[in-house]
Amino acid sequence: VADGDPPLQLRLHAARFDPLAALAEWHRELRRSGTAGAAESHFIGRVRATDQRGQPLESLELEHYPGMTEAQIERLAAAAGRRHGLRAVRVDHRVGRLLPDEPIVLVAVLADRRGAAQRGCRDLLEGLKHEAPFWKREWSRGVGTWLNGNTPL
Amino acid sequence: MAAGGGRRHDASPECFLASMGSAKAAVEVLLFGALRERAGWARRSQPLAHHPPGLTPGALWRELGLAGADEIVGRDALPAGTRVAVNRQFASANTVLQAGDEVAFLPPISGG
Repeated sequence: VADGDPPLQLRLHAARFDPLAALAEWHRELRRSGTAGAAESHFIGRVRATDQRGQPLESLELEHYPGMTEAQIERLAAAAGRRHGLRAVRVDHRVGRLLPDEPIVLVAVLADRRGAAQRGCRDLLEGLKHEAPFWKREWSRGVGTWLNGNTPL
Repeated sequence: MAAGGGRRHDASPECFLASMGSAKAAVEVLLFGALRERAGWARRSQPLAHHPPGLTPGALWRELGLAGADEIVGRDALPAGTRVAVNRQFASANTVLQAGDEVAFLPPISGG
């Protein structure tokens, strides 16, 4: 993470968060700091209603590695920022126990053009899926099953 | 006055270094997710004196008995998808660990 990297606002939430309120907070910070860009891309991920085997999901547990999670997301945001020329990045991620339909993740990026914004948002999301220390456990009928990786893109 | 000041000046760094020295004669080992549950512990301080010099995460994996029942015993290699972090950065299983390092074994990641 270097001086020229885009500013990152990162929030890890132990309880339910509102992605639109998170975006509003980010926009206030962008206005305050005078950070402008013509193109913004956002992704909101929510808990699926079914587990890996298609059974109704009761809840999803998200474990993480405090300290490394934040450091790794900073590195991923800096890398995506350099690759796509991003001007600002916002990441919100849930940890703890989530219910179906609750938001898990928000990724928002600011750039000058739609291509950079959309590619940057996608890259950073894929980074979070595969390179940030989070582990999901699905709970169904009182039985917990650790996921062995991610769903397909 | 001068002697007292001198003692304070000399003693505190020595005490500090002595306490650091004993604390740093170990590595901190962390487990997460399914690995943590299988092993039945999350965090442990592992004295370096218990191991030959040049300890690596791969050797720790074997010596702490972290391999699953279906894994080939006696190898230092980690199973596919299991990763290592040293001091909160991804690292190779062949990294030589230093006193005071925090080494974590990470099962397959599922974020986002």
